[in-house]
Amino acid sequence: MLSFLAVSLGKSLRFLLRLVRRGGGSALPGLIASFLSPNLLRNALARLPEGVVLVSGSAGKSSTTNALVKLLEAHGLRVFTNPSTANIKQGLFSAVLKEGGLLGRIDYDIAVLEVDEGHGSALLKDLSPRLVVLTNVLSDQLDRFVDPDFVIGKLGKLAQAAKESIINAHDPNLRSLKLENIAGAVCLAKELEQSSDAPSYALRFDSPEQLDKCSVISGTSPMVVDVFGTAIELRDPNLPHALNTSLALLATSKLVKFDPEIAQAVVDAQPAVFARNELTEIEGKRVNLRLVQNPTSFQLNVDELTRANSPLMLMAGSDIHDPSWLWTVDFTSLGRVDIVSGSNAYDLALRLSYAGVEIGAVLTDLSEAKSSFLSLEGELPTILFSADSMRRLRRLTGLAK
Amino acid sequence: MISIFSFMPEHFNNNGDQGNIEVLSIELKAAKVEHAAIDKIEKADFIMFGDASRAAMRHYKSELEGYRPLVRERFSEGLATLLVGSSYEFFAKDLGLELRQVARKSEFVNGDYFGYRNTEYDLEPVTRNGLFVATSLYGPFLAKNPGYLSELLMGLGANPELKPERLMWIEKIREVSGG
Repeated sequence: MLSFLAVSLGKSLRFLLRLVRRGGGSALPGLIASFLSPNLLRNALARLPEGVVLVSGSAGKSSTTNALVKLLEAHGLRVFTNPSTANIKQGLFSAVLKEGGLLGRIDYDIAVLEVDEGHGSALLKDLSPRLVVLTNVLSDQLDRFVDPDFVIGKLGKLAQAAKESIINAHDPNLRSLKLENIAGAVCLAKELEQSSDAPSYALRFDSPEQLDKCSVISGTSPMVVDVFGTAIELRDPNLPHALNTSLALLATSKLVKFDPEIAQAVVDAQPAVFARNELTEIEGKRVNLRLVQNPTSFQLNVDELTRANSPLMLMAGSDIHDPSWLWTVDFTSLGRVDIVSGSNAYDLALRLSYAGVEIGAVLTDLSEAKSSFLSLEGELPTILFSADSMRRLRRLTGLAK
Repeated sequence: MISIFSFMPEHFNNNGDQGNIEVLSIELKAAKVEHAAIDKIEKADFIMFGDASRAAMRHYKSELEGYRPLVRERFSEGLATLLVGSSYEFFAKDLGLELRQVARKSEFVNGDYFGYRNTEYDLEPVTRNGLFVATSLYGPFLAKNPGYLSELLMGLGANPELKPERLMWIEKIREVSGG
């Protein structure tokens, strides 16, 4: 009865919130439902015949989850998942509200859930995973997590609670966990380890032992991963993406009867993850949108920009709680930023200024920033924004789904 | 020639602390004062120990222990020095401070000095003697505390010429983030 009330109220609230805020309305209904019916998520997931898979880590959670969902669906499973921006408790409850019936039941075979690296382990009673996939540990969000040691500990707890785990063994932080339930691990061939594109992780000064068994990614154009004896080609030349896709492939082979042809077709057709680097249209103008969530992704995006990416708007929203990390990004290559916006616009402007970047205008009013930006001429108008600014801009421009 | 030393800058840069060196260098250049980074701490006019991860603090512990006498001396003489975050905590006893663990404070501090702190030790946000500053505030500190930056520049023989738009942005940051 309580579940029925919680779901009814949550669904109604979700509907109303989405009427007034397109693309929004995910957190509050979930929060209320979790308060009214704390067992809603646990009960919904417990009925799934193939159980629960969790994907966590500092970066690459969305890409890995997305690839794993696509692979499992292609193998015939009905997969329940959560949006990438809803990976803490209320987001997971909201996903149940969205997909479930009035009694909170979800009609799927398996759940593949992206969970926040700091919060996931606190939800273990609700989630009871059969498999945990760990992507990496970066020195990221220190205002939340204080130190990578904390994240390493949380991810270890998460993985140990599952029957099996699959890890990115290229990351020494994950190797240092010395998990006893490893069912698969991805690593890089020597030539790729030495590549400048090889990802770097939270700093360590020791060298945890390599794993005895590892699925090696090797070669170039395309790279190839050995999925327990089956070679799958990875056409995306980005090495971090290759690691994420490989983790998803290993997980798939542990969850279903692996069909190499189906898997290859899914990998070949894999689209870019939502808004990471997207071409869209705003008020009749073609605009390049790039999501930046941490020093690594900000730096990668800045480094990818060319002269064609003009005019340029950088937006730092309220999700950047302590903007100090902006100072770890090297912006000097930008030369000029036309508009700086978002609730942390002045912090970003100060950082850009000391990096020698010329600034056109600092506009904290989103509507004014958007209008000014769209009035500027240039080959490819480009916006780099944090998640909060992305949501606000999407709502303002009608891009929110 | 002003000489600048930063301890293991690639590893003591948890919250963009090396931005302090960037800011100092840019302002010295704007004031037309010659300056250079050096790797001999004993000869440096300005030294900085930034904030580091626990892994880095563990790794460099014995090396840091060796700097205690130098830090004590610079503190007592008020020499241009910046200790940030975990380095402040590490050298606290050399500044005559007691390190007591308390509930973690993750917050903006907006008083005589501005910045964000994330600490589980009961230390003042800033402990200062002359141009020696030990702080739990990230930011970087020099960029967001133009008062101290000006004093530091003058202490290093420069006539500070801070850009008005930067000062205006700092005021706005204090309004937006500091409440």
